[in-house]
Amino acid sequence: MALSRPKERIHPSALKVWRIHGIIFFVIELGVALGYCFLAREISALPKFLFYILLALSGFMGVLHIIVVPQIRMIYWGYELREEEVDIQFGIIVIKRSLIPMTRIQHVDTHHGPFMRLFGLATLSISTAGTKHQIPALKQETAESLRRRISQLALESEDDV
Amino acid sequence: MFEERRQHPVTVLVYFAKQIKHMAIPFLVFLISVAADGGSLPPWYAIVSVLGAMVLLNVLIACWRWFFFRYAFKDGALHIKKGAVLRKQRHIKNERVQTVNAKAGILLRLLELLSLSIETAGGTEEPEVTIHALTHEEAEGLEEALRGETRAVKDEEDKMENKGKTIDFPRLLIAALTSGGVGAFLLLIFAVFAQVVFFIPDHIMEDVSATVIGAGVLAFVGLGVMLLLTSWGLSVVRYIFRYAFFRVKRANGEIRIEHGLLVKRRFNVKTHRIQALSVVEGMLRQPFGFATIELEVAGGGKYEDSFKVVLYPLLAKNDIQTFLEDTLSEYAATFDLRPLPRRAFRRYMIRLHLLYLPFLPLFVFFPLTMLAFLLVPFTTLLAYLRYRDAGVAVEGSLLVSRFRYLAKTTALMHKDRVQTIRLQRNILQRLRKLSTLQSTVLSAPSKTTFQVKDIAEETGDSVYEWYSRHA
Repeated sequence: MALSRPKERIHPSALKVWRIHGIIFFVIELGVALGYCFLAREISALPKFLFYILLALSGFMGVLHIIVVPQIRMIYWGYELREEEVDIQFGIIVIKRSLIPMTRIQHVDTHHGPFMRLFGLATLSISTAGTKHQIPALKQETAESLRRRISQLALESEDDV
Repeated sequence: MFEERRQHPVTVLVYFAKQIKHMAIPFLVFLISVAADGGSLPPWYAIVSVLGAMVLLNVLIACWRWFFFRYAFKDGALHIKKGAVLRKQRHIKNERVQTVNAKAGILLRLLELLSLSIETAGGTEEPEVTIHALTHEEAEGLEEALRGETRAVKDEEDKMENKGKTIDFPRLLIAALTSGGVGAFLLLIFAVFAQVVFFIPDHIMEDVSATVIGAGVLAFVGLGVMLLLTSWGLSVVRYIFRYAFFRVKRANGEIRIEHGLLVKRRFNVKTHRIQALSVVEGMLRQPFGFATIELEVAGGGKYEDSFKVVLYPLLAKNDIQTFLEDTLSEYAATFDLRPLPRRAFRRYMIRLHLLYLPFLPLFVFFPLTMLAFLLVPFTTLLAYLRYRDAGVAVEGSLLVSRFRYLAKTTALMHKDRVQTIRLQRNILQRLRKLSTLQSTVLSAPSKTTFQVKDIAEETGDSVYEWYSRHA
């Protein structure tokens, strides 16, 4: 019997945030390519064709990071909060599925970067004694209520290390 | 419960030796390098007076440190006071103490003393507190106090004194011969050589290399074999010194391990701190049917060279079950290992041989490196063994992961000790319905993840469901 996918999905706006990250990445790469162009004009020893390679590369990576990767990520991202455990699935090429029992959770917190905040999103991090897990791009209220619920459940489930 | 006291005065010597060790080497290197450069050494009286001053200063510092280090046990806590100018006080409550380890070198054993290191939770290499020298009586009192033990429990334990497992000499010798410590010593010899080579005058070096080259290939081979044998011999001797008089026993919810020929060591591991047990069958030991039993213990520091605790150095595979039943019955279980599906074999083969890929350009430019292909039969065999030996099993509350890098390792862990379980599948694994299973447990200094690659998807899913507490 195959495992069923975790029920909950992260917020659809995550796509937008990831795409913005992708755009920033793309702009930086473009900058590197253009920077090289200027350098090559000054220093004749540098080959010109490398500029086109860099340009093509940044274009390719741009498409990958702005369009393809966020979409694939969105398809696989899933999580499920149960009374006894948190179940998380994510990945792009390698799909990872983690099960974290409530009894093992040491602390939970939420945080958000500028773009996440723009869309009212937050990331939830869950730490055990040895491992750290994140659920990105939850609605801020959801993240906050999950955080409270997990700390509550983690407190209630008492068994020692 | 006892009053504030100092360590045994011999501690001054211990401190002194430690301090001097840090200074002596740079000083010697300085002298040798001056001499090797052909520069003139400072006059002898200058050297002697500098040395004298250094020794005197260190004796004073050592005395100072000893005099102002006081420890006491009261109200369920160990109180440490250090220093006079920079005063440090530390209180360690006995419930925070994870392990108390004892160690006695030759000097301490002659004086019938030992040193205690007290470990608390937290992943540092150094013990929280070390009391460098105290009498056996004091140590016993302190250990009892730290464990919150009463005299009655102690008596009961004494009755069990005859229990416990020791190791006989032939067994120890086999363990030493197959310990695989050759590599470490080879590295050491090379490291020492690399340091020393700078100080050897050029003309001697030239003479030596001329002789060796003149003697031809045979000399090189001979030199190599000699180096290897020396390293092996050294590693055997070290192993025997370290693990002689090995004894392990269980008492009062603790595993006690003692060993050492000259330097005696004793570890106490509370059983509830044990996170996993591994049966390690090294490549040299497996053919003879021997295995080492190791423990992952949460909290606490380094035991020997590694953070793993050797529960027993060398055990015949058939004896493991009885041994565990006597010593650590929580991990004595019979299980049916689910092997990898046939479709995983190809992935194991390819994965290991991908390692040759980065060297391909080398093969083109330096055809002689093609000799590396002589290794192919060995890597093929290793890949096959890795595939054949790997597997997982679930038996009651126990998860068993078996895998091989070089040594075949069978890790056993209890469900309520596993921190998280992760299944990982890349695109190709998804096509072939395979998963990689990772189980993470706490250990010193932080965590250990056991990984079995390419188990059948349904096996992975069933482990996941086994781990889930959800109905």
